[in-house]
Amino acid sequence: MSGTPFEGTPFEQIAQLDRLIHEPARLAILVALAACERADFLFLQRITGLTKGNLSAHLSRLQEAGLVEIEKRFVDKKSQTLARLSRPGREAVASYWREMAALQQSATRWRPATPAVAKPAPSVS
Amino acid sequence: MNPLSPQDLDRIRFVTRHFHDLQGLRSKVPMGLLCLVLGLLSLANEHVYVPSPGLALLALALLVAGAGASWWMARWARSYYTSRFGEVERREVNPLGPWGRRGAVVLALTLVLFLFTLPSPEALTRAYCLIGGAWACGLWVRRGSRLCQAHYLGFGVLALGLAAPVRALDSLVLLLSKNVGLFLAVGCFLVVTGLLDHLVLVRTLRQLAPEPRAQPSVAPSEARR
Repeated sequence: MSGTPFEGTPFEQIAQLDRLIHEPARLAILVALAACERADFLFLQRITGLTKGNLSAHLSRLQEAGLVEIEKRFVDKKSQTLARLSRPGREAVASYWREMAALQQSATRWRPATPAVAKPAPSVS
Repeated sequence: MNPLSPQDLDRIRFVTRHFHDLQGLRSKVPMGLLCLVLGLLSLANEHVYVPSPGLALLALALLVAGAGASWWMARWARSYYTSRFGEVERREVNPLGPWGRRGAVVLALTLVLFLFTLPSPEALTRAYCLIGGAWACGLWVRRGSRLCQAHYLGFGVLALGLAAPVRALDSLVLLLSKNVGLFLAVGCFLVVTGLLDHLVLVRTLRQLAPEPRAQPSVAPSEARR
């Protein structure tokens, strides 16, 4: 996870963004989990529009990275999978939004470097 | 997944944060229906000049039926929302803090004491309208001042307008100061806002996930990108 301040052009800054969070499906999952204490698999599926397999793979990836905690329980003899954002996960999401805000500011300020004007060739008389 | 727009992220945040509040069929509509039944019974009570045990029994049966229907609807809606949209445990964030909470309690007690000093039922009704209107407008602001929640703003402005000391509104305020008017007004408010909240929830989720697509599940290697 990148927590260092950005340097270079906005394009280089985009390349430095945390790909684990910046991926659209995972970002949608993390945004949803950041807005609640925990949510179940069905809600995440409904709100992100992902298939079961996709959502499961993304959640596994986030769990491996320590951003999300998964809990399984039985309610009325049916299994229920609940996901919650871990403390490092909340910090990572907050840090991501700070980086995005900084990126937006630097992109607004950024001007392309003017190309060097070629010197005219000396005239041969 | 399609590219996410900032509006999509905003919708996800809004629906997740207010998932329970937007479940209008779960509490608002049943309570509103109960209020409407009470209002209609009060109306019937005002117009029946010869009380009889049969009519009283009928009114009681209607009241029990209304309460039963509301209870059944609340239970049905709970299982409907859980099975269709899943479950969310809300994050308890108290914007007031401990001192803010104490201040709110003191303010509420002062308000109650003030309400007892009001001279007439009309003045009390205007005070209720003022409190209700401020609450509805505050709810609209708390939910992000969104257009989709503008029904709270509409009801709030209407209630605040009724609270204004305008002579032309006296007859309406007088109607609201009776049980019939109060129950019917509160019932209509709860039913309309409940139904609109439910529509907002369903429509927003449909916008975020248009329809269940039969797409093959992604390979784990792709998800690991």
